[in-house]
Order: sequence, then structure tokens, then C-alpha cells
Amino acid sequence: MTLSTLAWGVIGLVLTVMVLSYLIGDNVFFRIAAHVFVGLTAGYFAVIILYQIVWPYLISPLINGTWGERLWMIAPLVLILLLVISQFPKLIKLGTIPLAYLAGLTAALVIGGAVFGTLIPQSRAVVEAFDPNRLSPSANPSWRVIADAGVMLIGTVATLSYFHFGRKSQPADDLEKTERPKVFEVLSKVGQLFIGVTLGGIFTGIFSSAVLALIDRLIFMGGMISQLFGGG
Amino acid sequence: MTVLICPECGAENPLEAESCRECGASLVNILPSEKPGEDFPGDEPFDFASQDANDLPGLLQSLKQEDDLSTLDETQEPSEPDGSEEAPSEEPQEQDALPEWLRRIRQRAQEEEDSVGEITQKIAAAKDTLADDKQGQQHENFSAWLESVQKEEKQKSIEDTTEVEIDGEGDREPQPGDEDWLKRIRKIKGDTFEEEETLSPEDQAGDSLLQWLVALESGQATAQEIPEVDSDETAPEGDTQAQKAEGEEIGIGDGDTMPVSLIEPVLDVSREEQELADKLRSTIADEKTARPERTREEPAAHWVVLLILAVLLIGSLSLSLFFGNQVRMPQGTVLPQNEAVLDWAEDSEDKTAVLLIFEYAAGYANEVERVALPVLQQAIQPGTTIGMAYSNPSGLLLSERLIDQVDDYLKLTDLGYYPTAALGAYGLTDQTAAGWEFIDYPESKKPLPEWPFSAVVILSNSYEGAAGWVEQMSALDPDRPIYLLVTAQAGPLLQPYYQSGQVAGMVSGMTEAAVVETLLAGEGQALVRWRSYQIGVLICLIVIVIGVILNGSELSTNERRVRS
Repeated sequence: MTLSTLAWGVIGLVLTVMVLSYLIGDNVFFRIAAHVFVGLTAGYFAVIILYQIVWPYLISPLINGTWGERLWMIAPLVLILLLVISQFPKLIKLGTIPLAYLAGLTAALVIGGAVFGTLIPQSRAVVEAFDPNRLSPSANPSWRVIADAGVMLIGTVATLSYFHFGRKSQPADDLEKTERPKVFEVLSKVGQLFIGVTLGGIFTGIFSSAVLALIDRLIFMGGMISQLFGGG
Repeated sequence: MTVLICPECGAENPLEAESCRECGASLVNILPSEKPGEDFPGDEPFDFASQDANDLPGLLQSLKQEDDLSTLDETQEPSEPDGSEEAPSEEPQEQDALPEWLRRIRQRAQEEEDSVGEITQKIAAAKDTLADDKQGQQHENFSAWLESVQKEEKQKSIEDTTEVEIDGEGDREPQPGDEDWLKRIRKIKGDTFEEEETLSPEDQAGDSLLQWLVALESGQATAQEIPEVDSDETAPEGDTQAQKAEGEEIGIGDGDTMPVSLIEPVLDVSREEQELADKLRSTIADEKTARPERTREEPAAHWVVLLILAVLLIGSLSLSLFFGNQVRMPQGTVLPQNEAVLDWAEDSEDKTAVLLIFEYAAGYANEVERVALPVLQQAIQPGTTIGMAYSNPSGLLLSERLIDQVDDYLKLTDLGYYPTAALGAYGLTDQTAAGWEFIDYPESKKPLPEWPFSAVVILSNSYEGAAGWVEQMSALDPDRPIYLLVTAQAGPLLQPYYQSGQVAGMVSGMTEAAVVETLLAGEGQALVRWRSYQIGVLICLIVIVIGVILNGSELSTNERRVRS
């Protein structure tokens, strides 16, 4: 074990113990460790942005590029300038231009991805689950394939019904003004069941990941202590 | 003018009316009354002479000596002296009202020139002169004084920007402030008179009148002088202080001054506005009130329970890690998504280039490494080109740590950091699509990926990050196989992408990782952690169930208590 490995190992051990001290409540050691992590992360993130984004995509073309490449850099420079001078209260409206550009670009990408990468493929998967061709060559029994497709269909419809908040356009009485149609009311109850199971699965996964993180920290601490005091 | 006041609506009706002309109510048996407003106090002449004449009874009293005080009090009616001098036609009635001794004195004075002596004659002459002069002059002075007060009030109202409206014309309507300053002046004068009346007969102001008359004889005083009201002597101490604080003296002619109080501008506030103001004041006062800092008092048992649970969890995990025997993974059914990953890892064909996406945080590095290492060690062979891109800032360090454990002889291509998963995926994938060509568009100084990669492997700890890459890549390049190696918390939400065929295979969490590791590499790091993982999950489940039961019983107890 080198001196550097030993030093960083001891620092890691101390910081791990300080974070684990939160098990007995909030205390000064946990706060110190949290502040150290937040500061280190912020500093590291700034360096990553400078070396991975600003330098290769902005500074380097300006310094080493041709005149044509430099002209292309006018657009990002103007947007950066607008964002910087928007910090002055009188010029705050100028900051909306680069922010609008970023928001529009991100929204276009996200919406396009959500529609063509999630909504359409997932809907098609629900429909294809009832494809008769999947019954014969499948290794799974036919009843299981049908059950899977049925559960998927019911889960999809029921979950969507849970988020249906429409009302009748011409309610007959005051009750219909406040209540959903009976069909959606029943399906929403089924949807609650599916949503509850999903959230339970996510919660279990979070717990599982947390337990694994604790196990890894214990392994690290045990290894460091055995190296420090056990010689190996 | 005498009118009939309607008892119902208060309207004025003529005397001959039998019913109200406004509301029609019967006016029978309604006694006539003076028309309101005609005897408005402000319209009365401010007669200093009549007030000064009140000093006269003291003098008369000293002259009378034998007569009783009750008779003297009757002569203190303010209208009597003035009426006797100003309205001779009413003399017979006044003669009846005068006491007998005064009537005898006056009769004797008319019959015998020297019957009452020189002093009495001087008093009568001085009184007449004083009354005539002062009435005229005081009225003039009062008018000037009234104008000066109005000017000062206007100026003050403008300066203070109050809501009091002053017309500034002679025929302006009486304002509440007018009543106030008149009342205050009369109060001052009234206090003076009351105090003078309460003095003993020897100390009454009649003596001062005598002194003044003597001074008048010697030429030290003039008939125009008004006995100055000494506020220090007559007014109560509190009023004096108030006058000193807010009052000043104004001239009333011939260099004489009179103390008046400056009228504060009247703010017309309704009851609702006053209530709102009171609420606001109480709120501000309540906000400014210093409160003792409330500290959350946790019972000592709570801290002890936490400590016991921590020791129990850490102790159990440590014992199972360092003192337990090696466990063997039970051979069970392999999930379809795991089987697809196994097939790809064990297939030796077409693995010349693999794109690795690092989309997990440092805190989940150990779990992701337990999931990814067996697969990558099996799939990546020496000489394989590895492209690395990361949408997490820690990706650079985490990629180095993972690759070091895979193989030392890999062709690594660093594609850099992409702040947003969707942007990165679109930017990387779109290079294979037919895009526009921009003249002189600057090339990135980073090495571009050598497409086509045979597969894309996404390592993630969150659903959002992995979904961003999957959405873009599956939409732009649907034929490219995508494999997910993710944590347990991201697995359930990414499962539909495998169901839809957008993802070719997936391994998530410790359980699946242990199965895949067993099938690919035999015993490994995942199995070392497997028993501790089971014990830790079991302890957490027990604690959650106990907590739910205790919390539920406590809630039901509180509910029963509330109901009872």
C-alpha cells in the first residue's frame, strides 16, 4: 500500500464514519462531511464544464479555427453575452432570449423523444401483445402470454383512467358536476392498485440500493481497518 | 324660527302642519321647537365683554356686604348685564329680576348724584365704556383672529397633507375641527371662569377689576386692555402642558396676545377602517413580539431506539460479511431480459466496437459495478474499441474506475460529457443520419465515435437518465441493440422498454446481478454481498412492519381519544 493510497483511504474512512453518524441523528460531523461533499462536487463540476464543454466547443475553435469557424462562434458568444448582461436589473429581459432558445430546443428534443421513443412504441407493444402469432412459437404457455397481455391492457387502461378528470359536458344534476362517470370511477380504482404496486416496487428498489451502498461502505471500512491494524 | 320636528323622520314641518310632509306621520301633540341650526354655537357672537362682566358680581358683592350669596348668584346670568344695558325696552322685566339691593342702589343713584360715591360712579362709567369699547373692538379682533386661525389651519393642512378639506371661503360649512377649536377655547375660558368662581370672595376677580380701575385712574392702563388670562394660573397643569406643547399665542390687536391651541387635522376614519388598522397593528406587534425558540423535544427513547437499530443493522451486516460462509446462489429461472444480456455477452461475434454510456452517480457506483462487471468482462475482448460518453459529471472518474477492472488492453475513445441525456443521445446518434452540412462548421476537438457500434450499453442509476438515452437512440437508430445495466431502483420503470422491444436486454439490481454473475463467471463479488444483502433487506422489512403497526395503533388510539 502506497502512502497516497493509505492517506486517501483514511480520509475516506473518516468521512464514511462521519456520514454514518447520521444514524443517531443530525450532528456536526455529518454536517461537516455534507459540506465537504457539496463543495467538492461544485468545484469538480465547474472544472468538468470548463474542460469538456467550454474549451473544446467554444475557446478552441476561436483560437485555432479558421475565419469561417470563428464566424460560427458568434451565435453562442452572443447568447452567452445576453445571459451575462441579464444579471443587471435593467437588462434582465435580454436573458430571456438564450433561455428561450435553450427551453425550446430541449422541449423539442424531449417531446420528440417522448412521442417517438416512448408513447408510440409502448402503445404498439400493448397492441402487439394480442398478436396471435406470439402464441404458437413461444416457449411460454399460451395462457401465460394471454394473461400477460390482459394484465398489460387492464393496467394501461386503468392507470390512464385514474388520471382522467373530465366531467360530463351537460350534467343532469349537481352530483354529475363533481363526479366522474361511473366507468372511469371503477377503472380508476383498479388504476390505483397498479400505481400502488408500481410505487411499492420503486420504493423496494430504493431500499435495495441503499442497503447495497451500506454494505459496500462496510466492506471498505473493514478492509481499511484490517490493512491498518492487521497488516493486510 | 319655530317648527315641528317629525318624530319619525326628523323632517321640519311648519307649525300648522298636522302630518309630516316627508313621511306622512302624525304631528298631533308634537311640541314646537326651535329650528335646528339657527342657534349654532359658531354663530353666536363671541362676547368678551359679557365674560368680563362676570367680574362685576365680585365688586358688587364687596359693595353689598350684607346680602346673601344666593341672591348674588342670580345676577351671574351672562345675559343679564348685557341685556340690561343693550335693551332698555326690557328694563321692567329686568328690574323684577334684579335683587332688591341693586334696584335700590340704582334708584338712589338716579335720584342723588353722589349717593353711591365717586367709586361707584366711576365703576358704572367704566363699565359702560368698557362694554362699548370692548364689544366693538373685540368683535373686530375676533374676526381678525378667526381669519388668522383659518389661514394657519389651511397652511397646516397643506403641509401635513391631511384629508381635511377647507373651502377657504367665508361661507364655508362648519367642520368638525371648527367645533373642536371653539370648544377648546371655551373650555380654556370656562376653566378660567370656573376657577374664578371657586375662589373665595376676597380673592375673586372683582378685586383685580378694582385694581384695574385704580390703574385706569392713574393712567397706567387703558380701557382697551383685556385682562389677560394667565393659563399658568387658571388652566390645570395638564392642559397647560398641552398648550405649551401644541399651542401658541396669536395677536388680537394692540400687541395683545391670546393663547390658542393649534388644531390637529382631523382624520376621518370609519369603524371598519379603524378595525382593520387595529388588526394590522396587532399583527405587526405580534410579529415583532419576541418568542422563545421552540425546539423539537425528542424523547430520549427515540434516540436510544435509533442507536439500537443502527447497531443492530451494522452489526448484522458486518457479521454476515466478515464471518459468514460463502453462499451459493440457488439455480432458478433466468428472467428473459437477463437471458438476452447473457446471450449477447457470450456471443463472440460482432463486438469490434461498443459504446458505453455512463449515467450513474458515484453513490451507486458499487451496485452498478456489481451488475456491469460480469457482463463486460465476458463481452469485451482484448482489442475491442470502447467508446465512452457520460451525462453525469462524475462519469469521467467512474468510467476509469470501471474500465480498469474490465481489462487493461482496450481501445478507449472518450466522447466526453453531455449535460443532458437527450441532447447527448441526439447529438451522437444523428451523426449517422443524413443531416445538413454546414460550410466551415467547426469540428469538435474530441474524437468522434466510430460508427457503427455493434451495441450500446447504458449504465444508469435513474429512470430519467436511462430513458432519455433510450428514447432518442431507439427513435433515431432503432436497429442498434441497447442493453441496460442499471440499479434496482431504476429497473422496474425501465421494464416497459424491454417489453416493447426498444431495449434488447436488461440486468437490474443485486438479485439479477448475482444470477448473471453465477452463470457467467461462477462465484464473484456479487455473491460475497448476497447474504448481507438478504439480511439487510430482512431487517429493514421488519423495522418497517413494526413501525407501521406501532404508528397505526398510535393513530387509532388518538382517533378513539378524539372521538371520545
